[in-house]
Amino acid sequence: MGGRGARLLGGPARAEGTEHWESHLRRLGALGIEGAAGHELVQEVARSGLQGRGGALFPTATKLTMASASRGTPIAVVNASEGEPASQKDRSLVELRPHLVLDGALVAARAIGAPEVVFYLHRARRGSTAALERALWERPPEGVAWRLVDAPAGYVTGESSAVVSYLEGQGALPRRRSAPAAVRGVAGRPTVVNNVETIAHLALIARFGWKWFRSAGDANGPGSTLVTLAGELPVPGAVAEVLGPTRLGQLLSGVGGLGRPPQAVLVGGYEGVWLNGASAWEMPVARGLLAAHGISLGCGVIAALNSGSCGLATTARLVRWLASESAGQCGSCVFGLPAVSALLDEIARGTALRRDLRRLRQLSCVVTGRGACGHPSGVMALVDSALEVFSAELRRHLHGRCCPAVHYGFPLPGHQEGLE
Amino acid sequence: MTEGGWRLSLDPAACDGHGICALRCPDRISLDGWGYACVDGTAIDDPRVLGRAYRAAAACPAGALTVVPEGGRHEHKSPAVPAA
Repeated sequence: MGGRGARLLGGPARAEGTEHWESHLRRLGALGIEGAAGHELVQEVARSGLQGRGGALFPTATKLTMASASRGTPIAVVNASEGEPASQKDRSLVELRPHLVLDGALVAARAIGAPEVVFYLHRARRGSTAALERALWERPPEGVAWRLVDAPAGYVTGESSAVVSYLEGQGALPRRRSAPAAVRGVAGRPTVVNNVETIAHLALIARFGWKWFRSAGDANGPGSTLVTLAGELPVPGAVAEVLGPTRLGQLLSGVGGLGRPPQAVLVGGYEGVWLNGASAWEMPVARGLLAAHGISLGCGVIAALNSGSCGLATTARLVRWLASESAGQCGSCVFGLPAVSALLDEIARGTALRRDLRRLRQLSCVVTGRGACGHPSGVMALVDSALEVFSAELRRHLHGRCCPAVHYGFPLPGHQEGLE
Repeated sequence: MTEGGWRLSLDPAACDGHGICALRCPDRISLDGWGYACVDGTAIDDPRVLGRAYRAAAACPAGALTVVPEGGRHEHKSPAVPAA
């Protein structure tokens, strides 16, 4: 949990479970935005520099401004789908601090003048739905209509165009739209889709102001940030809030319980990039600083790989699953990802030839940048970084020597750890 | 947006890999190993190429290919991590 000075995760300890309305009010006071005009709220968010925490880091104020300036009755959507298998931050916020999330949703709705707030949740996550239903029952009427929508589970069903598509009564599939959702979204209405963490930050920005918000984080990535420490750790799946200068090693040892640098670290989720463990250990966990080096914290997942594990076999296993999560719409994804997966499996088994590696690199060029969403590009970024970071293992594998073990420390939906 | 500039735009989710477009406008369209279109979506200056681009778009049985004003929105998304 948050620890000293925590913002989003401040308040009662995790073990105390869901924070109730009275405790929330006692701790943070009333939201107090009744008197504020929409454009004042948007301006406050713009000054805060808040960026979307679903992974894309799009400036939140830009979405709000687009929606306010567009025709039609706006809708505010809170994206709680969190399809990234290792990520725990959004469900932690919804289940532990539902009132903070609901406050933030009110700020977003008030800022764009939306009479309706939609929560987009995955069906399997009963705990999140229960926490929200209970929280809504505790709160006084607030002049907006709350809707909880059960969305189908999946890796790409939380992509914002898939969210809009599902709310329009079609499948939860990524679509290319003629205009941004914030301009013309659900049924042509301006639709602002924000990640749960982004929304929770709004609740605090509205209370304490943009200057306070910017006193955490760095200039190019302002505000505190939630990370999930996952993978092969003594304490896997813990959520931590990073407020100031912190090195990755501090998080992995202090929160994840790791005694020494891991072999490698996967940063930004399963479509993130592998980094060498020893050099990543000293890396600052700051969104802006990392972005300057071309590394995105994305959805905040930081997953460690043991020195005893095989990075190529682990990547092959992740890619096999990611390929199966394709929405099945675009040829480059439908045919490209299974082909990539098959080649990686050959490499992991030690049965690949040099020409298979050449073919894999060619496929990377063919698949990257195509498709209606970022899924194929994300998978290829993972693969490309694996070939680079695990280049020594790659040489061994191409000579027919497999690594000893895969530990399955990276959770996948529907897969029991260690059993495959 | 350039006055009067045009470019090709592909909806990859709609493309079914018929491949007729690549015959009509090889200047801007090639096919990948599975037969799906790879489109160069930069501005078209040559009017003859623009004519072929229009014929390619008109020939697409899936309606996946269109000629749009330069600076229009239908572009390839840059590689990005999808929302968690």
